[in-house]
Amino acid sequence: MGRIAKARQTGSEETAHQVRNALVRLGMDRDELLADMREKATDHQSLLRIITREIDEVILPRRMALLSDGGTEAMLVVSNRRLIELRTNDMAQQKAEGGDTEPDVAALAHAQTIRKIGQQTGGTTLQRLGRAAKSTTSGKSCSAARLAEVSESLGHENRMHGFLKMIQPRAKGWIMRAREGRDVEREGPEAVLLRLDHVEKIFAAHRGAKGTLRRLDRVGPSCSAFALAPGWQAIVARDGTDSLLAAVPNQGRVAVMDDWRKVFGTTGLNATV
Amino acid sequence: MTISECLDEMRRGVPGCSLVSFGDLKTGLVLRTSATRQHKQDYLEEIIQQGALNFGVSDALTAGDGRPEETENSVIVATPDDVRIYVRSKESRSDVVCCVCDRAEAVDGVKAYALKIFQKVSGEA
Repeated sequence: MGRIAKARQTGSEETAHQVRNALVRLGMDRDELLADMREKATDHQSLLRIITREIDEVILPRRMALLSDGGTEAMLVVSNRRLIELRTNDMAQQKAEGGDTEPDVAALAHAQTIRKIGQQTGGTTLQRLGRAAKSTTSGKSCSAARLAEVSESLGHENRMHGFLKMIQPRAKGWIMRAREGRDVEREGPEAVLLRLDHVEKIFAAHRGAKGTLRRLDRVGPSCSAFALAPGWQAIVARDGTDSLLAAVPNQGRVAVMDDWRKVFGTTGLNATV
Repeated sequence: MTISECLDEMRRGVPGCSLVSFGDLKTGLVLRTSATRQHKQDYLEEIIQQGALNFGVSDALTAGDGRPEETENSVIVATPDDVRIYVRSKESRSDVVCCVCDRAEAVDGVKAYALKIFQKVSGEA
């Protein structure tokens, strides 16, 4: 008679969630499971989801391929719930993977590759190719969780940079803060930048005084336009901890808001782009 | 025409508009609303408070310019799902009209409707 292990408290909601999802997949009937395994990624987000799910379920070293209509997009080695290797024909990516790379650098390089594949190919599937010879984890590897985190921040950074590129011709000056304020870029006349610094300070003071905007703060990215000085508008765009402050002429604010909606919007303008 | 009827007219007249409210920036209270569907009072008030926050920051910035009459009396806030246009009264700077729609270009139309509402509130119309 088989022994049944005692239930243990994992202490982590995330781990419990992962275990639950794995059990749900284990409980699927064969056809359902096969359909799940053959799921086709239609964009970089669904591709990332498929890859991270697979990484999380693999303990013994496994080789996999990312296939699209154009052929093999990349080869992966996964082991011990970590992505060990991700090879494409792209020379730059191969260089990033080489040497004694830090896990965060590897996660960033892998995330960029996955994003690129997901954006460039119409439909990608993950094919399991069996055991891999390589079994050791190294500094080049990263976990599924880290890969997902880096991919998310990469998306935010790209979105905010994309928005900045769109409004730059109209902006007299701008300040961009990314990676929780660790990266700060600024451009424009000093007087304008001082004014924009002032905007940030007043915002912080007002937010501290009003405790009623917590839910709105949580709901996601937003962009405000209000009077900065006669004839000028302040543009304050936020996405998580990233922010972009800019000064634009009054007559440019509608176009700037439309640009923001093209990048961040879920309905309307972005659908036409 | 009552204020509520003015708000209904505004909602129908502004393209892509789903919600119009009249409120008080100082207290953050919503006094009248016209919407395509029911919303919780908390949600309505948070929208007004979002306007109050932006007007508050703008006022603090432009206070030193000495020409408050030249500054814009409107604020636009975009979210991934909608665009919120706030117009406040030049005479009674606590009175605000908020319009939730899908295009920032509606701002001129919103200003025109808001003026009518402010005139109604002050008893001129």
